[in-house]
Amino acid sequence: MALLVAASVPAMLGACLSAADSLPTKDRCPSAESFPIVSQMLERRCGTLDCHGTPQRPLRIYGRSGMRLTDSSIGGDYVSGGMVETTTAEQNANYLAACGLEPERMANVVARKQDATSLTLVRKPRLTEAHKGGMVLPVGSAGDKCLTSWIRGAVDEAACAAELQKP
Amino acid sequence: MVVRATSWIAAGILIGAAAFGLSAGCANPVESDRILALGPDPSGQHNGPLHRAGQPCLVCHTDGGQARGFSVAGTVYATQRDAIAVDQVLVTIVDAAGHKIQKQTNCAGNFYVPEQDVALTFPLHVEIECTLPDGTTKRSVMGTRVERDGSCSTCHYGDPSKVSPGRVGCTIDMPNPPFEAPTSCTDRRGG
Repeated sequence: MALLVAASVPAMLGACLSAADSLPTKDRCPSAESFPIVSQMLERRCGTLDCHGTPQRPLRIYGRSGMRLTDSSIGGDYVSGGMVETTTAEQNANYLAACGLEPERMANVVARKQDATSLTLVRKPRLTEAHKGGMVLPVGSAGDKCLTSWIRGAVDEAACAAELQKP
Repeated sequence: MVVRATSWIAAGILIGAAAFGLSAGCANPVESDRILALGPDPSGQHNGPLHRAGQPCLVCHTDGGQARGFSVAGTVYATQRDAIAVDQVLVTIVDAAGHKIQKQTNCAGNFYVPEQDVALTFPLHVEIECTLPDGTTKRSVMGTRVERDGSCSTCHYGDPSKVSPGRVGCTIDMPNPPFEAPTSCTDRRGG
């Protein structure tokens, strides 16, 4: 019983990571520096309020046009669809979400022990794994290239920009 | 003969009870809870095109649900913050397969696309065109796509907040002259 309790504590803490927590190290997660444009793509394609822009669903994605991160220091029109652009804290939260979905496997991918296509983060939007939201980023699409290139270590910014140009 | 009739009645009761048990057992408790959570209709309207304005229509109006299935349905108000229903708003929906559907709101602000009309493919592009009180028209295009939920008010509810852009509104701010609440509402269009 004691072992169970001891084991559940870190698991619970892991489930409660917030933007205030430190970001994963480079050996655990792809580049944080090149993530902002990937975050924009995830916000557009995954983070609408009826999908991952809701606290009721895993892989929470925050952003201007979806769910906003609670931050009492920001006033004004800091609401979903408001005038305040996606904040750094929200991008960091999205980064944590992307890397925290399967942290061990992501670390293996960063260490090149596994391929990016093994990640649920890639497989779900490709619909190579069951996904309630359907095929959001087909294999080889601009959004798919954006995501997988970032995971593999060299983000394809042109692909990300191309996906963002889509309606 | 009496014994045989009694056993038939008993068998009927058993089958009936079993069928009831099966149907109760097969109900989706999540959906049932969502329906219960809606509570009574605050408008007091009976079931029909005018009822439950501003509520997530597809909680009930879904395939296999308790009411006729809708692909998309919602309510259009004056602004995101003013719950004044707007009549005769033109709602245009274009789905991923290129189907274009146009509906007009009724006096409750409600519109709906019955599933039998068209099977829409997500994601959807949505825009509305309102006639403002001064007679001009205002077109508003939704900033994101509808990815999977056909109920507008799953996302658009209440005033703008961290988790909602607010109601589906014709304008951001109340125009001058302002929209006025309909004095009576009996027109049952919308679908």
